[in-house]
Amino acid sequence: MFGLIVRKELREILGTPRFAATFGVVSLLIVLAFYLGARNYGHARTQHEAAVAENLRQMEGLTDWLQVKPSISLPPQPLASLVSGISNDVGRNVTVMGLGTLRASQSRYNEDPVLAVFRFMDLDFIFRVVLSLFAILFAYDLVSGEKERGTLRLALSNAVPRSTWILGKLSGAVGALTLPLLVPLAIGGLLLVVNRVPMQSGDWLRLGLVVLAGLLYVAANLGVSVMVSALTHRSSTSFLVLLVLWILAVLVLPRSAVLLAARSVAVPTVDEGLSQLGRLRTQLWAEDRQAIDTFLQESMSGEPESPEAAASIVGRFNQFFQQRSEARSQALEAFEARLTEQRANRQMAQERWAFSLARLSPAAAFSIAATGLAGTALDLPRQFIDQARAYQEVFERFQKEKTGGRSSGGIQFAIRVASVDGEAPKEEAVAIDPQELPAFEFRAPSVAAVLHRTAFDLALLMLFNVLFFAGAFVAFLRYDVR
Amino acid sequence: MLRVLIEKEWKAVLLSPKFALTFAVAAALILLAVGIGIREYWAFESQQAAAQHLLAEEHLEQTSWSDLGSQVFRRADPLQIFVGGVHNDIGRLARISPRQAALLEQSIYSDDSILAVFRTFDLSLVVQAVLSLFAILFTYDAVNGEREAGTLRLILSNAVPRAHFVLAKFVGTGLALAVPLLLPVLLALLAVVLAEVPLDGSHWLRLMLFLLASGLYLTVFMAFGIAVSAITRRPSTSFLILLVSWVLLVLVIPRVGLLVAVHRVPVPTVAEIESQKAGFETRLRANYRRNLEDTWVVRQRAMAGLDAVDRVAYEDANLWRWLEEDDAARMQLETELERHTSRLDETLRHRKAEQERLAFSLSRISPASAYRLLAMRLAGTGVALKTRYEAAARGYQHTFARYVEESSGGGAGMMVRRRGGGHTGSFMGAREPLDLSAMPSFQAPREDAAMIAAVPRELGLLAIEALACFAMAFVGFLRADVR
Amino acid sequence: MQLDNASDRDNASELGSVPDLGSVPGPGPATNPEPLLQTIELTKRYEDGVLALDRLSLEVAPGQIYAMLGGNGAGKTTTLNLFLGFIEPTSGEALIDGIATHVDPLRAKERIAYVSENVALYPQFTALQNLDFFVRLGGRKSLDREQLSTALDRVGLQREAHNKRLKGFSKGMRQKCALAIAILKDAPAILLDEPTSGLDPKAGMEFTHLLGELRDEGKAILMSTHDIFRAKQIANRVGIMDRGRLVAERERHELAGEDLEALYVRYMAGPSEEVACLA
Repeated sequence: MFGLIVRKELREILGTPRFAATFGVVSLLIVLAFYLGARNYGHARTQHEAAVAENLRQMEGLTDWLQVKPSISLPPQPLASLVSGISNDVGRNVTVMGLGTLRASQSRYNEDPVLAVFRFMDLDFIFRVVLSLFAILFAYDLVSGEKERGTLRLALSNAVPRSTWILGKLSGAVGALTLPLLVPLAIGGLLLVVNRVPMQSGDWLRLGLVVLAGLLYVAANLGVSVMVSALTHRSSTSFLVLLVLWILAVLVLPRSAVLLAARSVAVPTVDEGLSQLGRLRTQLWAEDRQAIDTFLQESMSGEPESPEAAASIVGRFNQFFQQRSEARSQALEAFEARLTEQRANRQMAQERWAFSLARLSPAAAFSIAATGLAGTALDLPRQFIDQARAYQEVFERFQKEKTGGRSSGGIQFAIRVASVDGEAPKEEAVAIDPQELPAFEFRAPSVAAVLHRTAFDLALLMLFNVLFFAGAFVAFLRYDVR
Repeated sequence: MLRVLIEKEWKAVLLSPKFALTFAVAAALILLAVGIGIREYWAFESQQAAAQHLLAEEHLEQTSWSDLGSQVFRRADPLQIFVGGVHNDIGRLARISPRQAALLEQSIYSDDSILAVFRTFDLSLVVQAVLSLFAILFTYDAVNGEREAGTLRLILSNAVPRAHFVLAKFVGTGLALAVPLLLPVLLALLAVVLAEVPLDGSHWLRLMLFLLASGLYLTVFMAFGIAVSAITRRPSTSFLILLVSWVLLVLVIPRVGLLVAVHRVPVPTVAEIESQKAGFETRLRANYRRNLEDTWVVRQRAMAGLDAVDRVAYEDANLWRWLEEDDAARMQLETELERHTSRLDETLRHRKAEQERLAFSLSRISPASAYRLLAMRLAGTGVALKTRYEAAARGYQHTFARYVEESSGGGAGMMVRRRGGGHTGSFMGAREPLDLSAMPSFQAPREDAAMIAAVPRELGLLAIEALACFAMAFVGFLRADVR
Repeated sequence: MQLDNASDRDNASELGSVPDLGSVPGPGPATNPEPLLQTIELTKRYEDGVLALDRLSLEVAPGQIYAMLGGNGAGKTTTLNLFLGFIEPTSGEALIDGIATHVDPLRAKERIAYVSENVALYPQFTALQNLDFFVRLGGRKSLDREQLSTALDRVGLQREAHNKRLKGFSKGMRQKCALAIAILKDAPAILLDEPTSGLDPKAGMEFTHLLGELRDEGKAILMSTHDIFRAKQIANRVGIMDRGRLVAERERHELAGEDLEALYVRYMAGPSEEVACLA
């Protein structure tokens, strides 16, 4: 009996022109998203590598590692081209100086606002907006439509328990709408392979989970549609109600949640931090300048008697200067770390607020899960800047090693001592080898960490499914079939 | 006769069960969107004002002309309340320094990424996505619904020209949808006025044009809905066609157009360009330094053999010439740098413009894109916002550099020349705060005329699309089988 | 239910038995031979090749009721569609008051009122709103509520239903509204498509009465029907149609001595069922 109902439901959905049309559109979109995502990734990869190479090339001819301020950038991630999240909104490039605040700048959208006008079409968008709408389109009249056509009366005039009937319908509808999606998704996966997108096994797993989350989300939409359909008696009413719910869940609730959170948890602006930092720097620098002046006054009371004396003065000065600047940079770093932490804490609080509110909408839960899995969620800028800081330390050590521990305060002193006979002491300038520069590698978080973070949202999606399906079930048991 | 039909359409919409719910949702969304817009407007203004204030404080503590920098802050535009455009995506300030190109940086979305997760919400989005959906919802069964119900036969059994029937559908439904929406729109405008958002004449004009464009855009969808319902036999069919078309037109085509354009016209990243610029500059400066050293060697050599007194006399005699020579060399360096920089920038701008053109012309097939582009252009929050501000920032950069040069008495204090070997004065210049009262202020760029100039074309496009749909409805219905 | 005179009430009580012709308000004398509704060699072949109407010629004069009898696919509805100008004739013409419907459909339609089979009105409007709309659409300047209500009274719709939305109306109630619309339009000709199908006997009886009244006011009435009894009861002339052709035509007085049912069955026998399925 159950099998019969499932088969009927499958045939009823799969055989309609409505299925052919929507499935065609969706397949096209999914394949297109994969194809363009892969091409886009390849293109971004080339561009990234070119930029890195160009960076190194520009260092050729330099003679001093102190002149080098490597610019590191966030390499394109294979999954980010499929689920872009906020990867286009965060700064991609960091200029690493020996010291000081690192700031990622030049987000893709800032650089190319054209892209921001319409944004990209990624899997997140296709599932969250397009497929959810189509799920509603298929399920809004699952119960009320049969009632209107009169087939429900006929069916239930047989010895069919209502529970069997609704369970059959639900499973048939879920099967009919989710299983066919696997075809374009598989083709998409194939396109990734063909286009030689370097997907690690971890990436495949994460992509698989994104798809799973997507299917769960589509099923949740089906569930809610059947539920509403079993609560109303006219299919036009149920569609209207579902459309309004869809608008609220997809367009309104997530955005309002964030804005509400932004209002209730104030985060200090970046400017404030920068300004405080700048003021501290000026103050420390003024103090140091005082000290340096005193030092110079004391040690350079007259013309140095000999080049050796001059050299010793320069040596002592450099040592002194180094000490001061190191102390200064330490103080600044500590201060900055405190500021950053404060801001990060506030941001986390805001995020918790916003997300726990937004998660009332399955669309938001899916989006959070998908971007989390793809590594393009809010952690991305934090991870990038953390790794950039780690690189900063590596680079600083490297610089010190290369320059024999000379000042790394970002300022260099070359006190030219013109000799009396007019011959400038020509330093033997040796070009540096840019290849020695330590490379920056962005490490995406491990699969385990990602799973740990997104488990909650995946569970939430399942919970939505359970709730909606149970709701549909109960609603149908009490449905007035007259 | 026509009036009777129009009146009936109008009543039919207002009395239909879906009207109350959709109207409530639409009204709530309009008010919510504008409310959010007003809040974001003032939040942005105060953020920028605070940043400006902090900058001014920093300036007060500045003691050296050489590291005097400035920042240019983007001002909020009142119309961003209605059309956010790329406002949140592009930087909100540009740092002005002699060395670096003035580029907008620190976008709201990169500073506060959480806002980027779900993006924000504005009136143009409500119109573009939600109201267009409602327009379809009210028209998908306009003709074939009446045919299925049988009322069409009854109507046409009277001496009613078919054209009148379609026209009445159009006008009646349009009025029934537009007039009630005026209420929340007026309330929203009132809220904007009460929130003391400074709107001048040009703003009002552009705002009205934006509302006009919104009306026209919704008309396109209404006409499209009526056309499809006139061509197809069953409401369920027309509904499916319309919903799929809506998904394609509103959600897909704009994005696909963009993806294709990105694919076809690759644009070098700023990182690439900056790296090229930096490399060129490093080489040029190294060259310049070597030349300077060589010059000095030559000059010192010329003084070789002179005793101390003659030396000073010689130096005094030639100093002015030397300084002029050095200055000229420096100027040449700057010019060359600038030329190279502007050439690179020009190329980049060119490529971007090309990409933009392709992306937009591809996506303009969809009225949703045409509407969005028009709305952004009217509100001044389109892609041009960035170019406009960066051009202004570049202009200000020159003014500022000139000001610094004049105020510091030339040379910008970059070269500390040691004369005779003795260390004079303190390390690195004076320590008194600078007198910055004469510092030029940055004027936010406005291009109202250009914004409005672009309107007729885009409005025309929407009008043509509406007319085409209307013609389709017309022809479709005149040939329709009403049995 | 308020009927106008006692004799009507008597008729209502006779339900169940086959009413004799005399109990219906007497048909007017066959006076004016000038037809108001007329088809001349009217032929319709659809795009798919089906010949729906084959050289049909019939006439309905003012004060006459013409009943087209026939099974599904006999061409009754096609005839009405041609009168309404919804389709174009392949050859021949349908004339209303001498105006060919495919030449000047609008002027022709000013002269007819139409009551469709399963009367469709706007469910979200009240009976009065529907009436107001369609009457004005029919070219009458707007009537006041009282006039509209009076018309609804005349067709026998209870007062309390006048301001109810059409949503919950039964078929009979909707048909009363449609008749009220037709009455108020005051067109010289009335076209009725299966007016009695799906009505309960009482409603059918009332309907027949009203139709008789309208005939007596001088309307030319053309109706399509399956209902032999009603046709026999009220029509001045009955045409039996089969597969697009008029196979038999009987005047009222001819019917008196003839078994219409037998006649109908005779003509309808044979392959007509298959044709019906095709159509």
